[in-house]
This record gives sequence, structure tokens and C-alpha cells, in this order.
Amino acid sequence: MPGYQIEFGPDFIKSCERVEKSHYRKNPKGAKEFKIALQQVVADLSGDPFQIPRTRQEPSPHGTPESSWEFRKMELPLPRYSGAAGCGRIIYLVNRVEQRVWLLWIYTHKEEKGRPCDKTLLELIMQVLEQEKKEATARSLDPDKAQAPGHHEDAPDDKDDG
Amino acid sequence: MADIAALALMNPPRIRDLVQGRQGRTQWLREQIRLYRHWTVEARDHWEDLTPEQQDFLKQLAYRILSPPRFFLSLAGLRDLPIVLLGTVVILRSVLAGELDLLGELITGGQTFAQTVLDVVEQQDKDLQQQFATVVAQALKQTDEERAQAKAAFHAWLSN
Repeated sequence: MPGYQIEFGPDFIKSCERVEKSHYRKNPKGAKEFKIALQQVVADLSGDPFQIPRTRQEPSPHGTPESSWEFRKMELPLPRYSGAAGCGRIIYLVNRVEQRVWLLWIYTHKEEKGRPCDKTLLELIMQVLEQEKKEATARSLDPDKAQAPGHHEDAPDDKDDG
Repeated sequence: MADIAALALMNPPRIRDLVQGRQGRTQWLREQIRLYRHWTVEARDHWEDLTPEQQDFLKQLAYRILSPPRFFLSLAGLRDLPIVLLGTVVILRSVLAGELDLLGELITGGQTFAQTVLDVVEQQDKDLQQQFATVVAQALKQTDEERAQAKAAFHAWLSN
């Protein structure tokens, strides 16, 4: 069975660095374990994202229009931490048809409590989906670009992600 | 330890009764398991129907289950120490009596309950939901080139 292709959202690496900084700045061993745990996450997700324990589908963020992406969450206990600070969560999107996983963000419950409000981006989401629609139309008109948006020639190499 | 502390602090008189043999331990363990299941369902399916006090109780209990007790950091913590030690006695007796299945169920039930409450708290947190919407939106507008860069950046960070 072919594996899932793993993508990384623009905020994922930033969020990894933020957790590393906030939790493991003075703990290199912990930082290493954290990275190993993330490597394992990538390996697990590229296998079958629906067979991983402590993962579940979540309601899409409020205002997100319907799409073929499932919004999911994974619990990731952070090495060498307990309590709310050790309750890591990873949010990601899964597209069953295209067999793609899009890692979006990692955070801890404590870190996000009382986080300052960001501007609502419903408008931005609408723009993004509008753009997707335009791209899909363009693809259907251009036979050279008619492949599915998630299809990449280097997809088989992604099995090495783990 | 956090699980034991949470259980013991939920009902100190019951813990004293258990230690002094005035109440059956197995029955108490089963009751706690049932309670955790009940509260998990309440939190997951009926959160909006609960009063603010009930919601607060469930939140406090969940955080207590997840967080290790810090007895020596506050007066309240020191006050809790004896009853938590009594709770430890109850659990140790359970281990000696071979009630490992029940204890396992109890711990799993407590963790499931706590994670469920965290999920509910997150769902109620509008700022967090907006943040989720932001990262989804930003991911969906990534170009192929940006995706490749993000992937390279992640692997570079892993190997650092």
C-alpha cells in the first residue's frame, strides 16, 4: 500500500522551533528526544494516518468552507514534561483521495492558553479557496497541468521522511 | 502521582474511610472508573448544558490529573500532602491485592477524561480556533516551491 505524502505548512517549522525554545532551551537531551518524537510522527503519518492512536478528526476551524481536507489532531506527549505543558498537540490536514498529510502546527495546551487574539481570517480563507478554484479551472483548461494538485513526481521519496 | 492526587483530593473523607477499612476498595475503584466515564461523556456531549460551576469543576479536575502536584510550593499544596499520601496507601494496597486491571482502567479513564476536557476547552477558545483557521489558510495558499522549502527546513531543523 503506497504511503501518504507528507507536506509541511509554513507555520509548522516555526511552531516546532517555538516549542523547542520554550521547552528545551536548556535541555539538549530533551530537544533531541523531541525531534525523534517528531520524526516518528512523520513516519507514522506517512504509513496510515487513520490508524495512529491518540489522533482524531476535529471540527474544521469556524468559518472554514467545506473542502476535501479533513482537519485532524494528534496528541503528542512531550518528552521530559508532564502536566499541561507536556500535552503537545499537532494539528494537520489529511486528504484521503490524494493521500496527502499537511502538518500545520504543534503547540502545547498551556502555551496557547490566553494567547492574544489574532485577526479573524475568514476573509483570507475565502480568498484562498477562491484562488484554489481558479487554479482548478486553469488546470482543467490546460492539459499539461491536468494532474491532481497533490500529485508530485517525487512522491515515492517521501517514504523516507520517517 | 497526579492521578492519585486528583482522586484523593476529590473526596478526602472517602479516602480516610478506605484507609481505615470502613469502605470496600474494589467498589470504590469501580465507582471512580464509572465516574470518569460519565464525566467524559458529559464533557464531550453535554458541555453547553453544564453550569459554569460544573464546567469549572471538570476543568480543575482535568488539570489536576494532568499536572503533577507541587506540595512544597504553596501552603495549599502542603495542606493537600497528607490526604494524597493516604490516597497512595489505598492505591498501593490495590496493587498488593492484584487489582492491576482495575487500576489500569482507572488511569486510562482519568487520562481520557482529562484529554476530552482539554479538547472541549480548546473548542471553546475562540482565539485558538482563529489561530487554527489561520494556519489552515496559510497552508492552503502555499505554492509548490514554498512547500519544498518548508520540507527542507523541517529536515534541516531535525538534523541540527
